[in-house]
Amino acid sequence: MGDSLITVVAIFLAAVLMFVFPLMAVSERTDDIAELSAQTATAEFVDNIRATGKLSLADYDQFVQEINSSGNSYEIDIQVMVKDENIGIKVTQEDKDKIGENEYYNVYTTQILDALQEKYQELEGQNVLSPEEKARITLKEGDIVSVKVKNTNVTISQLLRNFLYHVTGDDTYQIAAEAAGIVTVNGK
Amino acid sequence: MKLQHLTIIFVIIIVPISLALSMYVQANVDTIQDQNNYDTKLYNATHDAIKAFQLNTTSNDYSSVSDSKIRDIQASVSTFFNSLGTSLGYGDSNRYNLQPYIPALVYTLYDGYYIYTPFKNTYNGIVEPGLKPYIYYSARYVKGSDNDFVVNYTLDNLIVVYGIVDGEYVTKTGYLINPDNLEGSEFSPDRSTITGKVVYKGVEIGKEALEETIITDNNGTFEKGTYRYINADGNKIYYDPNGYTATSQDYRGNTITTNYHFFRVVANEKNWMTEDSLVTSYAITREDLQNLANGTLSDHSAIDYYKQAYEFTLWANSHLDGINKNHLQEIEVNGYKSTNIEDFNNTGTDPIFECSSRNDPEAKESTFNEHRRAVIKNSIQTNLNVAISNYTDNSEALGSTYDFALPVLSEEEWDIIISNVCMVSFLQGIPLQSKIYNGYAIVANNVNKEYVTGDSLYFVHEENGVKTYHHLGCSTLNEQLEEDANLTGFLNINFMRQSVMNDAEELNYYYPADSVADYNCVVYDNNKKLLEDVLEQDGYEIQKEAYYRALGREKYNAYKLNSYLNLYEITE
Repeated sequence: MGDSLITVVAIFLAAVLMFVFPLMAVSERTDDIAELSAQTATAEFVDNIRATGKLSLADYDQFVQEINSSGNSYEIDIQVMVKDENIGIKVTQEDKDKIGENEYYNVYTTQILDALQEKYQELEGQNVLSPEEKARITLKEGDIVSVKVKNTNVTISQLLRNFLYHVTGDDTYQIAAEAAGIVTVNGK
Repeated sequence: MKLQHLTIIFVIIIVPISLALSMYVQANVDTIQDQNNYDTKLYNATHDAIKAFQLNTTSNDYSSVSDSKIRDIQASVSTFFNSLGTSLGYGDSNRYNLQPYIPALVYTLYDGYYIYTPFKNTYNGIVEPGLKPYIYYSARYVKGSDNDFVVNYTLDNLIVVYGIVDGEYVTKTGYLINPDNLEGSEFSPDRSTITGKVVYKGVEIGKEALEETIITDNNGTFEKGTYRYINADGNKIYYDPNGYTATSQDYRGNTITTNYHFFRVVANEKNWMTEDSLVTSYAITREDLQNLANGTLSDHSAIDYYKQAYEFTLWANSHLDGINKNHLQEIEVNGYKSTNIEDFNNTGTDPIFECSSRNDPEAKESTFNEHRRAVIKNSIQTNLNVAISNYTDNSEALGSTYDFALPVLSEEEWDIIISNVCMVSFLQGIPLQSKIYNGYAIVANNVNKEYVTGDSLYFVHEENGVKTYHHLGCSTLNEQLEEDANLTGFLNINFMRQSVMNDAEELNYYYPADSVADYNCVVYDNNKKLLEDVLEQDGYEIQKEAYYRALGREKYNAYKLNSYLNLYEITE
């Protein structure tokens, strides 16, 4: 009886060690690489917006394609903090000691994508060449752009982990990347 | 062999492999993350340096003058080292620690560029970093024995020509435009000059009434006012209706009273001038001053710009005719020749300086522009290559053994460099986990006094007593404009906060174009049209007129380092 139990336990341990452990290790590495690739693509996407001051539908589509090429699906959050200098202009004219009273207001993913889609459809209706390039929103120097991506599918490592122990909560993503920065030029 | 033994053997084999693989992947992940980290920090430091340059030049009346500009650039270089050093955690001795990894910093300006790099001071033999002499975007052309001249290019359609042209020594500066675009203007009988009205691309260019807000220092007290002004020889002549009355005594003891209404701003103070002295000192007439005083249209800089550009273009068409890329001489720096012929090939043997609808110097794809861009790129590439290669020779003295080389920049990156006032920084030789870091950052500076582009203009419109500034393609502006609407464009620097300091070193701030930014185009782009669409499509006549007027005026009044070279002198 005792030997049989030990054998069953040994087979279970052997299965875990021989299959699950290597598979988990490899799938974790795969996720690491997918995360790295998502991080690099996100940083490039944000740096491009910062350097050119514009976000076109073509740029966005290319970014989506790049991060999805790892085989995962992602949720993309774009946030633009738009600098409003008008408050500073009015205050500075009245009181010389109060400087730099700028405010920021936020524009989020859905507003940005809606605007891009609207422009794209308008341009497409006019038979403009490469409308996805011209469908763009321009930003100005001083605006802050931040992009966050996280996977929405269940990766193999998540699957295996959930098999062994279950993680609860909303933030159950495995791959996440974010990049942010100040726009350095006025977009054309 | 029992199953347990097999398991143990498997674990013994797999665990080290898995760990080694894991470490290797992690090391590569860390390297790429470090590389991204350095890239971002380098980019941020370059942006900080550009911002410092912007802030210093905005409030500096003499920022365009060479000595002042060098000071501003040196301050910008210090900002770069401080910013990068602080973000990388180098502490107090930022520059000392970072210098071995910075082979060069390049500041491309309107008509040339500075390279900041260590060089050997031949006087004392010490290798020290500093700004090398200013290098113009220039090219030498030789055609036969009668033509041997140098052309200094700029980021736009202004050129300086000096040397032997058609057997005579000339020095000339002017803007090249397509003369066909001026069809509809009133020309002299031989069409050598424009004598009457100026029409550009079907839009009549008229005079303008300009005003701006300034703060002056009146014996230690800040005095804010909005004044009408007129541009004259790059100076602004303001009109103050209240004026200033000065009394003095003549040799008989009689009191003489002089009323002044016109002034310039010199060192933040009003410098009052009489009508007589203005007419004598500047290219300005009594009629202009009268119009300024009456508040009627007075400034004619835009008209002068198109007239003089037309005359200069005719001169270029008749004297620089037939010059093509085959007449270009190779660039040689320290025995290193580098005229990259491939860059020049796309213009074939088309004449560079003969301007017409086929070669419109204001169109991006014209022969002139293709060639101009190739010259600028070639010049920067050659000098930068030499600077970075020399850096390897000198780098031991600065504590580095890395083999420095100019990275390969993409065409898009070159496009940013040669179409903007900008800064390029190089950071090389920092050891990362499994490689050596080699990065660069390019940041454009589109708020400056010297380079005027269509996109750098904002247009002020008054609606319900509120002055608001817009982009030309703003949909709100288009809805607001009525037939007789008054729309005036200014360079973007006029909308930035300027500072003024009095003798007691107190600071005050003001905005010259006293207006607020429109929320649908300037603050945030809410369905704004592209500039080229506005200029090409019908139904934007008021915007087009305001655009060509503002572009002409701002270009005409921009300070030019080469202005001592007989600016616009067309005489034979």
